[in-house]
Amino acid sequence: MYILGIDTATLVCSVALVTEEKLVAEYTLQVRKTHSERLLPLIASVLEGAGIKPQELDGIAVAAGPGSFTGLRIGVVTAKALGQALELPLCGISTLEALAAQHPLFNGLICPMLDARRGQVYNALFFGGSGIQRETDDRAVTLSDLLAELFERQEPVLFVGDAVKLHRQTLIDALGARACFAPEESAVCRAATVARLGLLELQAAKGQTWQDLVPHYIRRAGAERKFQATGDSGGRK
Amino acid sequence: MTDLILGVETSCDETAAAVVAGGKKICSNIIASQIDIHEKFGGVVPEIASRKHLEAVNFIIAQALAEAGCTFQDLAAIAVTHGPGLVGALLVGVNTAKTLAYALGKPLVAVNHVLAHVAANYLVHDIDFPAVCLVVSGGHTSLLYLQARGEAEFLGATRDDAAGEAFDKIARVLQLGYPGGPVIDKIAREGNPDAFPFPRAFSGQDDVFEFSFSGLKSAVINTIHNLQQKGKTVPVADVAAGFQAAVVDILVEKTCLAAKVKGTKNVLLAGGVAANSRLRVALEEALAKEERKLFLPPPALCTDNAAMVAAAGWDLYQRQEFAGLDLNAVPVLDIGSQK
Ligand SMILES: [Zn+2]
Repeated sequence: MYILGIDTATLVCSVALVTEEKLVAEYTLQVRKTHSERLLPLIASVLEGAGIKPQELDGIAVAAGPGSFTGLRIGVVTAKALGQALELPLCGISTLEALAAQHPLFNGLICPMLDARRGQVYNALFFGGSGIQRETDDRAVTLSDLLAELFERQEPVLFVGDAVKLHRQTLIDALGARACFAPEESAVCRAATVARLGLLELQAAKGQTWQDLVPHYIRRAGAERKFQATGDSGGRK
Repeated sequence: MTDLILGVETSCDETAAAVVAGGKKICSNIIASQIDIHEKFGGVVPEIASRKHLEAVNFIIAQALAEAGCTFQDLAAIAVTHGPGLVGALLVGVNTAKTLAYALGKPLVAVNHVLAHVAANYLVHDIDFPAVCLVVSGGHTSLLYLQARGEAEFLGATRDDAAGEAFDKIARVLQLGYPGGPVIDKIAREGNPDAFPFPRAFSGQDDVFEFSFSGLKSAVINTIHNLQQKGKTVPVADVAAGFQAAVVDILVEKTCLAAKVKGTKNVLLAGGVAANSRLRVALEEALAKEERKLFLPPPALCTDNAAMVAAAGWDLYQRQEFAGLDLNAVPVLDIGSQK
C-alpha cells in the first residue's frame, strides 16, 4: 500500500511516501519560497525517486489543519485534485496530532503549538508513553489559558511546533523542569508522520474522498467574525 | 487527436470550469457564483472567496466534464487562470489544475485573465485581425491591440480604479447594493445624464491610452455629500446617470482613439462592464461614424467564466506554450508576461 503524505500547514513543505513496512521517501523543505511553487515538483520528485507512478498510489494523506489558511488550502487542494484524477481515497490529518505522533514514547503530556497570531496558539494535548492518546480537541487558545491548564497537571510536558520558539522562555518560567523541548527536526511537522497516520486511517476504512475533504481551519474568516460581532461589513472595494 | 480543453477559473468570486472544443465550440460552461455570500459584506472578501473556491472547484470540474460528455482522458490540455486576481482565490484554481494535469499526464497552460476576457469574443465571432479590444470589468480597464488570436499588445490601462470598481463604489455611496454595474445601469435609465456634468479625465500625450476614474469618483461622492449636507434628497437616478455617462464617455473616447491610431476596422469589447447597455450603444454609434465595427460577447460570456479561459488556453496550447509544475498564482500580471 503506497500512501503519499503532504504537509504545507506551516512554513515547512514536506512530502513523503510510505508503505506498511517502511518510509520509502521524504522531502522536507523549510525555505522562503511559496508552497504553491514547491509542493507539486516535490511530489513529482518523491515519486520519481521511489520509482512509483502517480497511478500506483493507494491513497493520499494531508495535514488538513490547523495551520496557515493559505498553506492548508494548497495542501488540501492538491490532495483533492490527486484524489479526483486518480480516484484515490484521501485522509485529512490533524496537524497537531501529526506533530504529537512524532513522539509516541515520551512519557508525559505532548503539547503541540502552532502560531495562530492574535495572541493565540493552535493547540491540543496528547498523552504519550506507548502511542499517543488525545486529551483535548484541536483549538485556538491564549498562551496564558494553556499555561493555567498545564499548571494543574503534574507530568512533564513536551512542547513541539513552530510557536515554541516564540514562547520558549515563558514556558520555562512557568513550568520549570517540567518543560521539555524536542530537537528541531522532530519539532516540525513531517509528511512521513502524516502519511503513516493516514495509512492507519485508510486501513481502518476511515478515509475520505475528494468530495468531502476540507481544511480544518478552526477559525472563521476575519470578515465573518467581524460581521457576526458588529454587523459591520469588512468587504473589499 | 482530441481538441478538448478544460478551462478552470477562480480569480475572483466565481468558481468556473468549462470544456471547449478547438478553442471555439462550448461543450459545457459551469459557473458557481459566490455573489450572494459577498453581498452582505459589500464586496469580495478574499478569505471567504478562497474557502468557497476550495469547496466547489472539484465539483464544478466534474460537472463540466459530465455535461460535455467526456472524461479527463479525453482532454488535450488543462487551462487555468493564473492572474491577475485575488492571490488566495487564484491559488485554488492553479493548484487544482496543475495537479490534475500532472496526475493525468496532460499539458498545462497558464492563462492571463484579461486575455481570457478578450477570447470570449472568439467563442461567438470570427474576427478579422488586427483589432483593438477594450476590456472593462470589476478588476480591469485595459486597451489592447490584437495582431492575431492570442497575440496581444498592451496599449494602456487604468492608473487607479478599474471602471467596474468605480461602479461598485458609487453604488455603495448611493446605497444601491453590490455589484454596482447592473444596478447603476438600471437606475440610470430613469435619470438625466446631463443633470450633473461630472468631469471627464482625457489625459495628455504620453499616456493617451491610460484611464483614470478616481477624479470622477471623488467628484460624484463630493456632489452627494454636498447635497446631503444641505439637507437635500439626492436624486439617485440623475447622479447614477451622470456618473455612468462620464465613465462611458471616457471609455468610448479612448477606444475610438486606439482604433484610429492603430488603424483597425474591428473593435472588440470584453469584460463584465461590456454588459452595460449605455456603453455598448455609445461605443457602437461612435465606431459606426468612423465605419468601424464593434464585436462583443453575449452577457453570459462577458462576466467571469471558464469557457473564455479554455478558449484563450487553446491558443497557448496550439503554440505549445506549456506551464510547469511550479506554476504559481500571479495577482498582478501584465499582458505579455507569462511567468
Ligand atoms: Zn474578469
